[in-house]
Order: sequence, then C-alpha cells, then structure tokens
Amino acid sequence: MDNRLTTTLGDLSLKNPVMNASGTFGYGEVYAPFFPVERLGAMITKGLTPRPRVGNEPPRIVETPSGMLNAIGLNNIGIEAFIADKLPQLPATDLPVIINVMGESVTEFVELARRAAQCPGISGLELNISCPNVGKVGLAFGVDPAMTGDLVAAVRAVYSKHLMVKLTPQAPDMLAVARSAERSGADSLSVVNTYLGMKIDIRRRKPVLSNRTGGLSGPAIRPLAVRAVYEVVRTVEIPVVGTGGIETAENALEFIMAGAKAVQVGTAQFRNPRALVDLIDGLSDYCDSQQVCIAELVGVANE
Amino acid sequence: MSNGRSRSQGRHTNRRTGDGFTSGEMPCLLQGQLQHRVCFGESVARVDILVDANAIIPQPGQFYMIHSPAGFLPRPFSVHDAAPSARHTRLSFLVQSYGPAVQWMLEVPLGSNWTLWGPLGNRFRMQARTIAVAGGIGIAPFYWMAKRLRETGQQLRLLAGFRDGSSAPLIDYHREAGIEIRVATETGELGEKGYVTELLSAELLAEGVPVAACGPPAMLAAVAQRLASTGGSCELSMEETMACGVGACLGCVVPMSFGGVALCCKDGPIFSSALIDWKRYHG
Repeated sequence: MDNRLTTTLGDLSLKNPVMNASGTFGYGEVYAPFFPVERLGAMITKGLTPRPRVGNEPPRIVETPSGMLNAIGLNNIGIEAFIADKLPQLPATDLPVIINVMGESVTEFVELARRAAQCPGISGLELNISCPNVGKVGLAFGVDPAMTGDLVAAVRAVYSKHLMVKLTPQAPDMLAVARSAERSGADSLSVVNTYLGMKIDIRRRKPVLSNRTGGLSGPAIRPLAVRAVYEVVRTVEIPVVGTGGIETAENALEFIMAGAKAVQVGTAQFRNPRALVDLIDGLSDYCDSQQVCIAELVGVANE
Repeated sequence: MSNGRSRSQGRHTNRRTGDGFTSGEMPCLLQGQLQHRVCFGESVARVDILVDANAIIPQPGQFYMIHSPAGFLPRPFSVHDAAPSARHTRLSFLVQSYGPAVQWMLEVPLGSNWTLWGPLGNRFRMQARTIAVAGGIGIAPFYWMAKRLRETGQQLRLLAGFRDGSSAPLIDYHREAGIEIRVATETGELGEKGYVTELLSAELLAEGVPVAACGPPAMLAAVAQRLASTGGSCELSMEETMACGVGACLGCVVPMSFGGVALCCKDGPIFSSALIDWKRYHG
C-alpha cells in the first residue's frame, strides 16, 4: 500500500482516493478477471432499489463525441439479493463497500437505509437523488433543495454510518442542494451525476434511446464536472468526491486540485477494463515524481 | 515505488460457474500486434492479431472487445479464427467498416498495437450436422466453428446471404478453406437470388438438424420464425450495442420470452431463438 495515497471522507479512511462510479462496476464482480477489487479505495454498487428492477427497453446506450449516453433505468437485482448473494463474495476487509440506493419516496429510501444499517459489510450509503433515467421520480429529489434536505434528514435519522449524496447537475441551483444536504447531515457529496442529453437517429427520425433522453458521461463532461466540484467545494465544509469523465491520473488530479478528496471513475472502464488500477498506479507515480501526498494536493487550485 | 502493486493481467479469481455452454475461462486484457490483414473488397477484412502465447484459445461463438483509437467505445467482434503457437497466440477477426472506428482497423499499418479483451460470452453448442445461417458479416464466427467441428470429424454446412456480387472474394476464401457453403444474394449476382432464409428449405428442416445463425436483426428474426413454423428453435448469435462487453454497463439487453431481459455480453451472445421475446425485440 502506498501511504501517500490515503484520504479520508469524514470518518471513512480510504487507502487511496479512487473508487468506481455507481452503475459501471456491477456489484464488484464484473471486473474481477482484470484486477482484484480490493485495490480500490472504496467500491460503490450499481444503484439498488427495494425490489429488483428490469430497467428500460433497448436501445439503452449510444456513443457520442468523447462520451456516451445511457438510459439503463436502474436495472438491478434489488437490495435483498445484493445482501444475500453479492455482499458475501466481496472482501471482508480492506475494501469499504458503499451501496448506491434509490427509492421512489422518502419511505423507500428510509427502508433501504435501515436494511443497510443491519449489514456490517456495508460501510456507507450513496443516496441516488439524481438518476435521470427513471422518469420524474429519479431527479425529483435532487433538483429541489427542500426535498433533498427532508430526504437526507430522514435517512440520517436511521443511518449512522457514512452517508454520501450524489448531486445532479440538472438542479437549477446545485449549490443550494449541496448546502441543504450538508445541513441535513450528509457526510460527503459526490459531484456530479450525468448530464441529460439526446441523440437523434436521422435515418429513423427519432431519438436513438428508447427512453429518448439519457445521461451523458465520459470526457465530454469533464470540464463541466471539474467546475461543478470547484463550486461545491467553495460552498460546503463536508468532503466532496469528484466524478465526471475521469480517465487518467492526470484527470483525477484536476478534480483533487479543485478540492475533491476522492474521485469516482465510471465510463473510462468501458474503454479500458484496468482503468481504475492504471489510475491508482498513475497517482503513485505522480506522488513519486512530485514528492507529494494526495492529501497535500486537495484544493490547491481552489484557494 | 509503492508496494503491493499488481500490474499483471490477472486470472487470479475463481472460474465462472458455467451453464454448460460458457467457456469456463476468465477473460484477459491483451495487447497485441497486427500481424496480417487480408482484404475482401473495399470494406471487409480479416485481421490477424498476435497476442501473448498464454492467451486462452476461444470457443466458437465467443467474442472480444476491441478498442480502436478512432472510436470512443470498444466494439465486440466474434472470433473468426485462432491458433496457438510456441511464441504467440493468433486471434483473427472479420471486420467490416461502417465508420471511423473500424475503418482504422482496415488502414492501420501492420505491426501496430491493438488493445482487446476476451474471450467473452458463451459459445455455440457444436452439435453434429449443424447448419449455419449467415447474413453478411455475420459469417464471421462460422469459419472457426467449421474448423473446430472438423477436428471431431464433422462438417459444418454453411448457408450465407449477401447483398450482391461484391462478396465473391469472401465466399471464395471460405470455399478455399474447405467449407461447404451455399450462397444467396439479394441481386442474384451470386448463388440463388433472394434471402438466405430461403435456402433453409423444408427438406433441410425436416431433417431436424441443429441450426445456428448470425447476422443482422431482421435476418435473425426471419430464421427464428422459419424454425418456429416447424416447431423448432435454433441458436442465434445476437448483437446489441455494448459499452463494456463484460456485464458492467447493462446496455446490451435482449428481451426474454419469460419476462425481463438478458445481457447479450454475459448471458449470450448465443441465445436459443425460443427464449427471445420477438414482440419486444427492437432490431
């Protein structure tokens, strides 16, 4: 382990600042042939709902310039199947497991949090209040500061471990949502989820995706996400996890210098199944060459 | 340098529990070099990639994700041929250009570096007397299937459909490899005039032989319907847009007749035609 890579998110200590982004890593098993999952600073599951969901009809994804649109629609096995079948397969030590959860109501979110609280193997929650692909309900919380505040407070009341809230750039005032989540007891914020986009098939004369719109990810959104992290870091005291188009250690360092204490990497893995470990190794190399620790770099470009 | 690094391309985890038709081998990330390229007309080529000698020999029907520097996402390619040797494993693919990503594969110089990962997905059942039905570039996996069947003394019968006569070099190449092939073209320039499904005659189907098909969605649906009309089913190699190829993105779903969806990359790409919900299939 490289001690210069350690970071903290509140009471959560990470051996390095690199985690996968939800929805790009299954439940920790899919990239196992390519690298040991315990190399990650933390792992985040595919978004889990109280009951299994089939998701949207295909086509669900399409390539776009420097990125892709997805409208998976929270296709997932449900929290019970995760706890019964997937969680026991994950390393018991050395890997904080954060579950991404999405409910259709405050009650459902609270139900998910209560269930997670019963599992010692789950180190934290990432509240998905920003899924753009499941109709109005997905984004409803994340675009509204008051609804976000009520939701975070309700979950906080039943969940004592790490509570991360994933913000959506679709919010008219994302900084107000960030402040509201912090006031209501969030431990950290992940910034940002995908940007809503659309691609039209001009031959068929209709949107490519069955859902019509999808979430844009990949390097196309990286400058937007760096700026979002920069602004959120200036607005709240709680730690920020930067995400959006990160492919390399250099990209991750931009987010860290903007003030992120950790990063999430998603789409890059589709182009390189070892992207996460290549990135961790790249951060080690950077720390070697610059004689620095990651912790010293957090926010250096955000004075 | 830091401790505990593992830069090796690992096969360190348990073997996937198969359903009998998975290969049981874990995929690897491979760096290869383009050794040889044979062009069949302007837009189709066979590319031979040399990879590590220890690489797994894939099963017919399996695929690799190949990342072209000219495209954002990698794309899936069926294994067309493979050969081990002492120094390298050769993996061969048939590629057809329909945009810059694959055009790169047709133009990049020999010796250039390729990034690919696999083998991925399940395989054909490899049953005796199989009839393979191919549409266009969907012929790709059947060269390897024919070669493997021949090792056990069996002959694959290949029915292949193309748009026009420009496919002649590709057909000749299969014949020269000793593959029994009957051809249909939409223009009638080669073989029978019409669709390849018309070669799937009542006499053939009456034999009750196993059928495997690969090609465009409309053709796969037509083959499935043809088999269903005689109360049968067949194996179809499905293609859906994939981002990852390994079950991470959940993009490549195929609607299932028992409800829900399956992942083309992990549960397929080979599916029984009876398991697909054709009413929900978008094609």
